Amino acid sequence: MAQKTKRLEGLFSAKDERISLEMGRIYKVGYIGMVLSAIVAIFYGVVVENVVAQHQLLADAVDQHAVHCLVVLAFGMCVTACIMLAMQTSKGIAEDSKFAEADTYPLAHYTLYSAVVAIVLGAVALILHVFAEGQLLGLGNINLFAGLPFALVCTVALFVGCLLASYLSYRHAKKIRARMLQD
Amino acid sequence: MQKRDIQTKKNERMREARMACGLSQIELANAVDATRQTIGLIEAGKYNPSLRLCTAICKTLGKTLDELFWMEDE
Repeated sequence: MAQKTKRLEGLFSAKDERISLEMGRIYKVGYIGMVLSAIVAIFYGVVVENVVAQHQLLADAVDQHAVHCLVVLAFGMCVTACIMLAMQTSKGIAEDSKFAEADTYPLAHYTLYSAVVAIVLGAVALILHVFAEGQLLGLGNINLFAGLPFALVCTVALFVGCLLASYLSYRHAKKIRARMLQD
Repeated sequence: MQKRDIQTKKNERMREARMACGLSQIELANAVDATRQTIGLIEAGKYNPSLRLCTAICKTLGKTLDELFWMEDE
């Protein structure tokens, strides 16, 4: 039982203190980036509403010219994620698990990881679609299968994207690692 | 320059002790719950390990902290 727990822990966190230390620093940057993105997006939404009220603009004009605050949030999150990935690979670390510094690409691990991420987020997309339909059309008009095509596309795109991103970051991290040990 | 010399000397001591025990970097890494890269970086003088890791390395290699990590001229 203890061995199983230890193996499971290895899948989600690195056993190496140097990797834990570096990842702790990177997660700190990520946390600050995400919080800043959320604050900027919220402030932006408030400011847009303020301008609309001050100049008595119509909702159509806002939809046409203003960037939606969700786009601002998504942009901030993407930038933060890119910074975190760049910091991670620049330290020669592929990810925060026992495969952080694997000598060969752990295909089975990343395939499983990508599949789990894709399926979970695909299911979330489907559930949110049902929830949105219930809100906008009423509970009687919910079509459980209407969101299925979107969820399927999300699942496939996420699986391919995750696998590709993991391979590219692994390859880059491995190159950096070799350079660090060579110097 | 002097500090760099001390660092290099220290890391050679660890490398020599590991080799004397007949252990590869991977074997030592597995014994002390670290990665091969971390052991390589310690030996190359690019990472300062924690006291916990130093102790684990010393126990595995049958040396004392003084013998592997103490810097005489600091």
